[in-house]
Amino acid sequence: MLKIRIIPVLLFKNWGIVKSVKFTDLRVVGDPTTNARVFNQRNADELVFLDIIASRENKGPNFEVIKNIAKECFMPLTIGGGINSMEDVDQLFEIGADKLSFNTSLFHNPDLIRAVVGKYGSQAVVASIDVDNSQKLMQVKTRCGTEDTGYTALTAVRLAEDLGVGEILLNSIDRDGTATGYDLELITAVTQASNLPVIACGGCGKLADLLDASRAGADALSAATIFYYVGESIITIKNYLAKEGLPVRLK
Amino acid sequence: MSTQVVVIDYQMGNTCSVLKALNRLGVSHQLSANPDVIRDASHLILPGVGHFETGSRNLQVNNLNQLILEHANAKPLLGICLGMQLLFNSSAEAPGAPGLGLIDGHFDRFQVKLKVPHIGWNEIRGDNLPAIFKDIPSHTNFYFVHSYYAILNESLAVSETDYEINFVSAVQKNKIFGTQFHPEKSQSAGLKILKNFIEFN
Repeated sequence: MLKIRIIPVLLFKNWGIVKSVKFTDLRVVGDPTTNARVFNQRNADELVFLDIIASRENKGPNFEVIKNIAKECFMPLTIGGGINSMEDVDQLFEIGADKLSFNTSLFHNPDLIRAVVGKYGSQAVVASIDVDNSQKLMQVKTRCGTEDTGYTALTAVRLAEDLGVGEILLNSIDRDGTATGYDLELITAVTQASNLPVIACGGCGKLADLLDASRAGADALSAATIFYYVGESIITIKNYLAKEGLPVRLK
Repeated sequence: MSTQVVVIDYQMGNTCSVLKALNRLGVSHQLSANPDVIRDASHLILPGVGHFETGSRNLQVNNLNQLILEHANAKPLLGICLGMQLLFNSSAEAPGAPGLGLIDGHFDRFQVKLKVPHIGWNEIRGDNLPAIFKDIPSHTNFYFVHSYYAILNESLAVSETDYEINFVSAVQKNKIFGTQFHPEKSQSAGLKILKNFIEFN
């Protein structure tokens, strides 16, 4: 049976891993390579690395840091943030990315997404969709939550499907870092509207939140705060979900 | 003959993770499409992510397909994911595009209620796991990403995996191995598979 994937998200700014609250208020929580090594040793099912400043400051990916992370990952590694050209894309796959995550380019450079899907396949392309649901309108924002796109979560997912994307990383801006639980309404709306696998992200603060997100329809559960501030680990999370009857990979 | 692992460079997606895994295992290896290098390989790995048709076409460049067939006569060969699919005769993904025909069978697209592609960690099961599964128990999880599954005309399945249907997740014929999953992305169990393959003669 296919397992529910538990995916730590590393948010990267300048040289360190940070944790945000509602996409702002960043605090440094560690070094990228060490983080990757520990999550690999603890059997994280995948790792997502997002450079949260690259696109806002029009910088490209930090290839040196990404290369060092990739060396530690013998699990699928998704890279996102500031990927603006096919040269960036080729180089990221060359240094060890398995999937690339696009956010700003989905809305501003869809031709790039189509080209990457054509060259590397749907399974290598993730649409990172940042949703502000504080007004219950599921508004999609970009450039690290600072720019409105005019899309809702559902129309953005349709756009991603039309572009041939293989997976959705569904981020909740208003839950990010708050540890108040995933936006279950958002997860259910998106998973019912799309056949693409959905990685739920944003709001996880306790073990039961992961169970709720899975029951709401998420195919994979990503989190950050729970690892850094709550003291749960991949192992305690998986043991808990297994006890609750969910299929997880324990070994 | 000393161990010289060659990963076939046929421009099918990302080979970096395979090279990284071989690096970690500390074995002598290189990525190459050079006929002389491929002829000298003790072990060949055919990796691959992407479309069957492109894979099939790229293997016809510079007679890579002939070189692989010659190698597989006498020496160990491992096909991973699309690389495993290309060991077979054909795939419904690209009717008419020839596989290597080393293993008699073809690939069909999943017709299941679950989401396709089958992405994530899933268990392999086998009563008689072969040499490359040494020290790996049945029910170990590996990482999969694929939309097509093997239909064999000969009984060469060594493991099965459940995704609404039971499908063949690994095959062996003499010194030819195929894994539908990605050992290079399957942490310690995956590295063990690669190590076992390299130690296989």
